[in-house]
Amino acid sequence: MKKNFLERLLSHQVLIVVLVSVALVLGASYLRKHFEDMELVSVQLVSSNAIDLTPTQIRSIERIGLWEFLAISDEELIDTIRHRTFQRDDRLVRIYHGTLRLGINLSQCKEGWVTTHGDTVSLQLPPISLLSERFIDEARTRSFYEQGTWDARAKEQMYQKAARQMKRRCLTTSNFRQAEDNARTQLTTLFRSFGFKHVEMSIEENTSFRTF
Amino acid sequence: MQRIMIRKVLFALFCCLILALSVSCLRQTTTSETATDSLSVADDSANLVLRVRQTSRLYTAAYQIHKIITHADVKHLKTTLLGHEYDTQLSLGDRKVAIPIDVTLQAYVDFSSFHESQIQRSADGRHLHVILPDPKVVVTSSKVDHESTKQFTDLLRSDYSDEELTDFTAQGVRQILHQVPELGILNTARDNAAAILIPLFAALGYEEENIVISFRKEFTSKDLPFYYDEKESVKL
Repeated sequence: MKKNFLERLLSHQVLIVVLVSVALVLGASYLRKHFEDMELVSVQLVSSNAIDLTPTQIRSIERIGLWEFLAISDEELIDTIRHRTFQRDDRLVRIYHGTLRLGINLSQCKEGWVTTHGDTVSLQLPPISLLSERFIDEARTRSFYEQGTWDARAKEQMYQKAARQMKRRCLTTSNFRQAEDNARTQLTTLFRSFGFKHVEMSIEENTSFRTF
Repeated sequence: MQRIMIRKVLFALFCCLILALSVSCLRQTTTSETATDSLSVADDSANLVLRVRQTSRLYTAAYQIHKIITHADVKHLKTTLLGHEYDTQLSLGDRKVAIPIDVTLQAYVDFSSFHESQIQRSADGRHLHVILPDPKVVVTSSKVDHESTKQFTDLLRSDYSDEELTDFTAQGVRQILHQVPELGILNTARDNAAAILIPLFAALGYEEENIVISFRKEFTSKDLPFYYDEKESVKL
């Protein structure tokens, strides 16, 4: 019996394999050449670390008159440890960043604190002080090491400890003196630019503030 | 029979070889990485721990800002097949966090580079026009309300680490900074600067109605790098 075309074709197995293989390779090369920039197959497990877009609430708006003459940026390494009997101790280490600002609060100026006599201007300034008790920028805090679970109380205690250490390091007699010297220099330059030849300045001594 | 077996084995080997060649022609990436979108906080531990700067800044406006930062951590399986993307949410368990923060923004006028060329007097000496430097905004303090921070995690997920929480706090402050022009703090700073300085200049012998204080520029959110002092707070 004569074999039909299909039977004859199927009997040439090797030929079929070769033709299919060539078609596969050519097809793959074509896809690669024409879709080179396209990712043909990829699988990724992703999660986003971006926070949600949430409203920003203004709690208060204040008019302030704080003249800063010295800014001290400080970083403190604060750690806390919780001892455990049969396990490794829990530990949390954070690096806090803060900027302590020394200057004068214009709202503390007395009536008539600026007076002029001819080419002389006289200034009576309040004492140089820390302009704000809140000087830590917790958004810049870096978590250095964490072992265990830590509650709000522990983190609040670390924050207060960082504030105390920063004050101890930055609120020195030397820094207050430097702020005062800079105040004299800056204000003298400012008032001289208004045409005054002489600038007399008295700055109250800071007796209420403890320095380190 | 043996010859048929040999032929079948060779045939199978040949098919495998062709399949391998075809696969290598395709660019195939199979990854199981976790992508992160957050900017990392710059590691500035090499900087001086203590940095003292002499300044002359008049702070005229303070805004107390409150914000609740939220994050929902959901795992997604993203697949790409011949240019088509597919996104499937996986049910591996959720974790969410809400972090309330209080931020103090203060705007200041920097007098350190103030020059007498910025003072203009009329010929009769009665009128005064002072051109002040453009106000700048700085984050003077930020505080996380740890007591009110809430985390919700499913059994299959771990709690947020301290590092993740601090990263979210930094992102939250950046969000606030991008909204600064809409908050109006710069306009408030200008108005307050005038309210503080006009009486001061009046004490120098000028009538208040003859004193004009002006600033150089109206800022928009695109000008953020010009009015935001990022040396003292989070980087943009």
